[in-house]
Amino acid sequence: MTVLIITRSDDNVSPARVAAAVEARGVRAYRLDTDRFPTEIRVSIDDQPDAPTRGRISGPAGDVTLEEITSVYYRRFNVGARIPSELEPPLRAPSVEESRRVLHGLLAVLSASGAFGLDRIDVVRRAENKPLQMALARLADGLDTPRTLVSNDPAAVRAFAARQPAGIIAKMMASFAVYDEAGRENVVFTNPVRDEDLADLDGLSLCPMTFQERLPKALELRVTVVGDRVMAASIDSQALPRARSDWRREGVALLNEWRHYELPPAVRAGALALMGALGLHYGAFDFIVTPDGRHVFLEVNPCGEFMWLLERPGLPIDEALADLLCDRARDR
Amino acid sequence: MTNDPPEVLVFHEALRGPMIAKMLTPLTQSMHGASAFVRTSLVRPEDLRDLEGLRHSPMVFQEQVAKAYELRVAVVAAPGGGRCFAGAIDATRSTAGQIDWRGASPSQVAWRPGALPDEVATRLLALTRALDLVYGAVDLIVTPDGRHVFLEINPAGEWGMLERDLGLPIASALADALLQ
Repeated sequence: MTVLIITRSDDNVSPARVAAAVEARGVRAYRLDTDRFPTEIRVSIDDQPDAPTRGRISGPAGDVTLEEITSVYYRRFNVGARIPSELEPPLRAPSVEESRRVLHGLLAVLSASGAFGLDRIDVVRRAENKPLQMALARLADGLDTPRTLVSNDPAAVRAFAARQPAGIIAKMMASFAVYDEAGRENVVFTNPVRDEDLADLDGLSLCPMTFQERLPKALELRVTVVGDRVMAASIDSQALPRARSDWRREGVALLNEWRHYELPPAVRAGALALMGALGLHYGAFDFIVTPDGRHVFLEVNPCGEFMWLLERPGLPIDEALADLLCDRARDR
Repeated sequence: MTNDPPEVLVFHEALRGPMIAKMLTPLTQSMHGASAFVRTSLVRPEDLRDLEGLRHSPMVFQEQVAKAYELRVAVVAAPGGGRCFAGAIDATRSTAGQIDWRGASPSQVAWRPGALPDEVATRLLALTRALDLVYGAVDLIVTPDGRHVFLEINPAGEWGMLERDLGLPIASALADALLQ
């Protein structure tokens, strides 16, 4: 019985914490740092017409065969990162792609042979689709959803904004950073849309955006769901001016301000229903709690980070993940 | 499939016959200048002595299957009843095409109608459905002794040449599947 952990060598302490919790349950944890494949880690998948697929991974963490792997914890992916950058692009790009396909193939074979995926890549790719999340959340009893427009059509955005008395915010589906001339990282956060922004929406012809009604905030929640365990934490994002539209702007300053939060049973049930509809076993939810007590669902991230919540408010997310990975492994 | 040189040697030893190498990454990637790298090629003894390149990319190694001809099968696994449309290609007259028909020049290969045994068609439909696909383009090798060896199925694989050159009503079958 082995839990395969798919991540990258520059990941934070989270996968090590999960690995320790898995080992504490008497199960082997094998960490595959995807950036070390194919340069330092060897992977073989062997198909013979008359036998089940066999396979083996060997690298700095030792050897493991496919038959030994009973659960997969999929966390981060950075395959081919150490293929030399001097390799010509027409060779390097297909090498990275081929390496990706081999690892995805390995994971697909594992799930087809009954290994438990937390979560499966194909499930993650579908579930991280934000318009799908909104469509399914609206159908989940207990989840309140914001009015949302995804568009690259300036006229549609202006019409949408005109119907929202409290104004709108703009955000991107992919979280990413823009680097300026000095190499400084500028993360694209959620921002309020001002009148002058509405007057100049030509940039939408180069990239669509997500627009949402601006909701008054009492608190913001990060709700981490692992299997049927729902662990909620709140942050008072209105305490710091720069955090009001997006608490991540003051993420470090707010690290010690996360509190345990008691989620209303209906919202808890709604979150679990959405997890079921998306086929997820792990999800990091973002909610806004309005001053009048509405809990408005914003999104769920299938591989969302949880590291800081282990310390404060002190949620046992690593233990819950290890329980699920080991219990499912024993169920096989 | 491997990036481990000793595994390749063990696999080759067990085959006791010729071996080919190919990649999972499709040919379109190669149109930007790396075509020789990506096509299916026969592995020569000198290649086996120099497998260091696997450090930079894994590859697929396969027994070389003797070819009478190859089939491209457009599988339309509509819920009500599926159909397979087969085209045969004989590229054995072209040296490059003997290993991979995509390596032959268009004048050396031509599509002709292909026949598919019922049992093979039934299995291809079952495979397509097992992958949750309605459409798939399958590549098969037909051996001189009549075996049909499955190579791969491509979820959005090309079928236009089968309709154009052989008059197979694939567009119509896809339209039927969409309207069902």
